[in-house]
Amino acid sequence: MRKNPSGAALIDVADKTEAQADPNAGNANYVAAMVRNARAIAERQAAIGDASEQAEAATLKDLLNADGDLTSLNRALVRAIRDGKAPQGTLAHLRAVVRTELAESNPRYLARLDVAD
Amino acid sequence: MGLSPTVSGNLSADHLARLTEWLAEQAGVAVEVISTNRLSGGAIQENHRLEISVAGGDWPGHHDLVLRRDAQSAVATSHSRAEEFALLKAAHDAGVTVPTPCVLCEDERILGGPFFLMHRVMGEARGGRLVKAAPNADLVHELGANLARIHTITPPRPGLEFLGPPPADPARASVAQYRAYLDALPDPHPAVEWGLAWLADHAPAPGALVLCHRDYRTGNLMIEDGKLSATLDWEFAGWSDPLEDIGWFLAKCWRFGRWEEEAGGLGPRAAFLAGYASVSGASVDPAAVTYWEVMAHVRWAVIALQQAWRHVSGEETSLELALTAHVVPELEHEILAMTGDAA
Repeated sequence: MRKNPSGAALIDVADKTEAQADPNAGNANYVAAMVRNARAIAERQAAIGDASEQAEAATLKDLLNADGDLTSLNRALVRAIRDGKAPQGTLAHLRAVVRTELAESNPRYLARLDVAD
Repeated sequence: MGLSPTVSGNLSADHLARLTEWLAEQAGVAVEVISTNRLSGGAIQENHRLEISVAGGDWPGHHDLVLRRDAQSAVATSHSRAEEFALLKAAHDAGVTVPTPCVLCEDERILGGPFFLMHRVMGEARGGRLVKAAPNADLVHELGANLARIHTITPPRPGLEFLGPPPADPARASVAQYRAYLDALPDPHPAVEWGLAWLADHAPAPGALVLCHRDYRTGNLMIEDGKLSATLDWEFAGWSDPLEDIGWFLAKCWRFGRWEEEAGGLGPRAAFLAGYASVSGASVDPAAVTYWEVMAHVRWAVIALQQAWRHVSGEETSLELALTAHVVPELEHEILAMTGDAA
């Protein structure tokens, strides 16, 4: 499940920050890099669209033998993990979700992991 | 950063006049403030460079100092300036490389809040810069020895009563605290929860507790000419298992991208642990360190999620806080990679 803020909310704070940024400030380069990074994450999320979260929800429904939206399914998984009742396949599911999120948030990190493996 | 409220800049003329008078009272002789300017960094605390000349007494001559006080955006959970001053003094007495603490002022009539003075120390603390230098085994050996000196401070310790009683079981207490922090956030985070379940299942038996810095890592260590010049940012210090600090320092998430140099991106793990053992007198169990490296990633993930929530909730609109959420998948990957045998 994507971390918040994502998508439009991320673009919104990037736009506001850019509009208010002082180009002569000592940290101007740092601020500009943050703005670029936020927009790049949002663009990669838009390219993937709903497909990844639909796949995540489908796997969760199978794992938990339950129904519901993505948030409530993940909440049920959290409960099961804390109670020591994580279903078989939980680790593989979590690893797949994290890889999908890394592909959006930091594809260079993901690429380095795959080189190291 | 971002849209965070900006804090006040340089000290006002009124502040300087009262400060000069107060310094003269402390010194018992005339004191002249030669120059002052706000140093960069420090959203929670303000640092001002302060050059003074003292006309005699116990501290005659020119002094290049830093004045540290709370910024307007100070958070209630960090240690007060008086507590930080006490920690610096204890560390200095234990031989830890810190800026020499000079004098504390709790009279709010001088600058509107407490402040203290310490010697100004030169160096570079930014991790992104430091990991561009050649790997330095001697430096990380010294960083290990320096950490072991912090850990020579043990409870009960006069002057550090504000740290409270030591936890009976630091690992399990941390797990309980981070679960409570996650429960206070609106979104579920099953990968972090997986890490917490592993930490609960693998918690070590509690050992002897010591003063832990609890943010001892590249980024909070000032380096000059390849040598440690200051241990910074004591606001999270507390009684804990010494392995908590070792795991935090060695964790992959604090290597600033230079993963192969496992001691903070600066040098080899073995040199850091040898430096630690050279002061502590005992070698460190690598498996025990691994446990606390998992804890480090979980702790940083929980803090990052809390920081992002400050933005999402509207408490503090900030692109920097917003982006912190998107570091979490990296931490979750490391947690899952280290805990394959969980649950």
